[in-house]
Amino acid sequence: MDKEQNNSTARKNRDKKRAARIAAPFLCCLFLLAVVAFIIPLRPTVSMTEKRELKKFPEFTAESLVSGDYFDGISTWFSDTFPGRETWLSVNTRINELHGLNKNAVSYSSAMVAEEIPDAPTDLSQLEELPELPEPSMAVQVNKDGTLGADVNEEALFGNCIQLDGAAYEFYGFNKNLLDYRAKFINEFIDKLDDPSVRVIDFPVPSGVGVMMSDELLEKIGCSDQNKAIEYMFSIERPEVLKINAIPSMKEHNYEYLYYRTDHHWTAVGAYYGYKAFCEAAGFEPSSLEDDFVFKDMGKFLGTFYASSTKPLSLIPDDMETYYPKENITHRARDGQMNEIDEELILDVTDYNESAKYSCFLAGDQPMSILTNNDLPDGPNCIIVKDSYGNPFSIFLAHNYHKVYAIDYRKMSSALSWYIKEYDIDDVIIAESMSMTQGEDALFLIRDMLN
Amino acid sequence: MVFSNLLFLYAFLPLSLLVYFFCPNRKAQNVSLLVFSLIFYAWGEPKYVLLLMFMALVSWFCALRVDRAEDRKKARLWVIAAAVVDIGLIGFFKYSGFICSVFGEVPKFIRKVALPIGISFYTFQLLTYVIDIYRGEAEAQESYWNVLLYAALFHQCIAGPIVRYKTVAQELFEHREPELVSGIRRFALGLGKKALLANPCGAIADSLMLTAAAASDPAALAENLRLISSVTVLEGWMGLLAYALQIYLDFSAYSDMAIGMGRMLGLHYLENFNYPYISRSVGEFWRRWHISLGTFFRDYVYIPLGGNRCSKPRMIFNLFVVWALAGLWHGASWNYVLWGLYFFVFLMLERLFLGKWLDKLHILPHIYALAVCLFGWLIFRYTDLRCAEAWLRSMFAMNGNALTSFVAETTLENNIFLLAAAILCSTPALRRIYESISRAVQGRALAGVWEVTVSCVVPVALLLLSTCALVGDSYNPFIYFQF
Repeated sequence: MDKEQNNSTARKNRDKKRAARIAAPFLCCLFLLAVVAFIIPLRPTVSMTEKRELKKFPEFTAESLVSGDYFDGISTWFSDTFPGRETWLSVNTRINELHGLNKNAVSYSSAMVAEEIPDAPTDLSQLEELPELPEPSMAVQVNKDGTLGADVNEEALFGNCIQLDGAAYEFYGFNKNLLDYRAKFINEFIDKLDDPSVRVIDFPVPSGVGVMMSDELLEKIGCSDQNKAIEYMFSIERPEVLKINAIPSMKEHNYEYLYYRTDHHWTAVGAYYGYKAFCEAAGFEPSSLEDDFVFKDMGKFLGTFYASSTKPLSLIPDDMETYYPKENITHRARDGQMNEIDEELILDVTDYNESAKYSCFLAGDQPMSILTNNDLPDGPNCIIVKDSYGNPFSIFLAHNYHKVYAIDYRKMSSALSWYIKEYDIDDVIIAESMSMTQGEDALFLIRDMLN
Repeated sequence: MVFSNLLFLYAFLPLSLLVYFFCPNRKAQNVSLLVFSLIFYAWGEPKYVLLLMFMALVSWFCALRVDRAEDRKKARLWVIAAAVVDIGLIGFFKYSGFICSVFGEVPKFIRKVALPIGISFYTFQLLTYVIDIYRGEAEAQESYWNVLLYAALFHQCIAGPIVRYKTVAQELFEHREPELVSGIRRFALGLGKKALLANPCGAIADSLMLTAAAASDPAALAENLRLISSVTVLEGWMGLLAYALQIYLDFSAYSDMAIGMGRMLGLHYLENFNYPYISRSVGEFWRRWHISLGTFFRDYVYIPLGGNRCSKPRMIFNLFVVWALAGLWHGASWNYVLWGLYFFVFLMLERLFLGKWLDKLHILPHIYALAVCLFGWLIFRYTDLRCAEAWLRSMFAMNGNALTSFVAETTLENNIFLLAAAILCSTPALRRIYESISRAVQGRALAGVWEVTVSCVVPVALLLLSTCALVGDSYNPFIYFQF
């Protein structure tokens, strides 16, 4: 009896030990990661790929404790700043790729609406019938240094990302109401300016879908035809406005690398062809990409679509190819309080984080960039009202002007009339990207500048 | 706190396991379990942990009175007292708004009443406690803390399974043997099911079918109907399928994790799901879906009402009541009641004549049962039934909507393997494969390798992969969380 009991106890102990050995790896993994999770210094505070600050540990208040918000905040903080976050996320992206075929992808943050583009009206009086525009519900804040605090960026729009065969595009949808108002403000600006010696030039910058996509594909994905949209826009602007549509000439080169595959911007080459179309219409002699520039490849670039796409691994990575002008062009960056510093014309971003390389052009989005072409002291001066598409474009533009005042309407809010008089401006170029024309925020910002 | 959350996985669970296994005896282990369970509950609901403790107090008190009552009549009164308090409280916190809306305006103070997490689960558990004592199937607990532990145990307090007192009483309070290995396996399986299958399916369902928040906003009804009516036929079916998969995988994963954690400590809860989507009839579906709820209603409502041992009209009435209540349990809204009654109709039909036909056929019963369940989820998802109707019409191109679109086809292409895997995991196929391999390698050299694979490699892999999925995962809802 005793021997049986001893045997069974011995067997039980053996089984227990065996169970412990088998259970060990899982438990070790669990406890190891738990320990790592509590090493606070290992926790990241910022996400480079998502371009945001990660959640902070919540502040303790009695109300938040009772309502449960304090604990919720801790939970969120714990997950959001988990050590090794970028690695876990990149593995997760790979796991998600296993969900399906991933040849194409659509990711959208808001409904993709494309209205019918009406035939061009012959009568501009319809614009006078437009009611007063109500102010936006979220007032655009101005920071202490004069820059704008508004969250006006392209992120909200290029959240609508369509991916086909390794390249991504931002959805473009025609919105008649917004474009009618836009034309109205430009037309009114001519009167406010009251100076026929200053040319007002409307140069809407096309986005990838407008130039790179065939008509069949456009129809399939339900995007509006940007060329037709631009023609409509021009048809309701006054004859005094110089209207430049770069799409037809850019389309002739769309077999070249004009737009990034992983980013919503155009490449330097794309900007160059836009510049060429500009020159032809504005009566300038364009520079030559082969002769007047020094080429520099700054390495792999993974742009905004890489972060917002659901299947980023199907995207073919980009190269940050830049062209340094041989001319003597200097760049001064100015903030909202008139403080100026010297900046690179094109920053060398070869060693930068792969997602940040577009900031090489004009060293990022400055509130105001003043480009001076020292080889053209008698040249004309221009103001270009721009967003981030204007950065590489302004660099090419400096070939034909003595001074280019590039004002980022998303970062600086000031009436143009003062600048026009102060700086002896000959051309005012409105280079708003077609992407931004889809948004109400840009409309208000441009309106405030056209004064 | 939810199980599929990094704070739970890497703070709460390891700490609770560590403290538990360092406890020298069962009493100390139970104390640690109770403390951690109260922390777990209070973490999500700092105020309402007191409600939980109060309800347990009432149940503990009444159960003791039942035990010591002189006669059945007095004992019955104490049961009724406990039931009145428990159901009264859940009625107030969960259904007051609904009840008021039946009669007219919902007063402001009622609208502010919040739904404490898990109240539907722990209330039912406490009811089974008192009733089981009355039925003589268990003995009343002298210690309040033990009753509280039974109700608040974090494994199943928030989202089931509804564990009956007599199921766990012995293991909780007398003797239990931990089964770490099988517990870990089950827990890891549930975690993987939730993070790697249920959540992505849910993302598809939400992107196609409107999020629950958007759909229940009455102000947005016109806009919602417009969106639903323009959904393509392909998206209509895909969305509903993804939702049906999500709700099953989500809920069964939660039960898996609860059962797994219980087993780790030596507590054996009954199975809550048994591959419901392979059912051949609606009756069978409800014997395989949320089993603990079905058996609760059977044993504590249906049978006391008379069950099927009475006249046919009475039996139909009993079934009607049970299914209306079962539907209502899922949510304080008419669509849930309708959902319950929707099943009542089919169950009736099956009992009357349909069941006999189904027995004779092979494939058709499966298609029939799946179709009934699938369309049932439509009623479940949309509190405003006009949305459900619109969705149904879109599924059959009756809204003038297109068959397909670029976006719809792309969504399908990019999720085809995920949906296939989710469907596979809703069937016993993988389990059968596991069982046949286990049988084949028994007693041979490969048995050791197989065991290490299944019990070490797979759980660790699932843990790590699930962690990848949960990091920075903004999408981690738990559908039954509104209970």
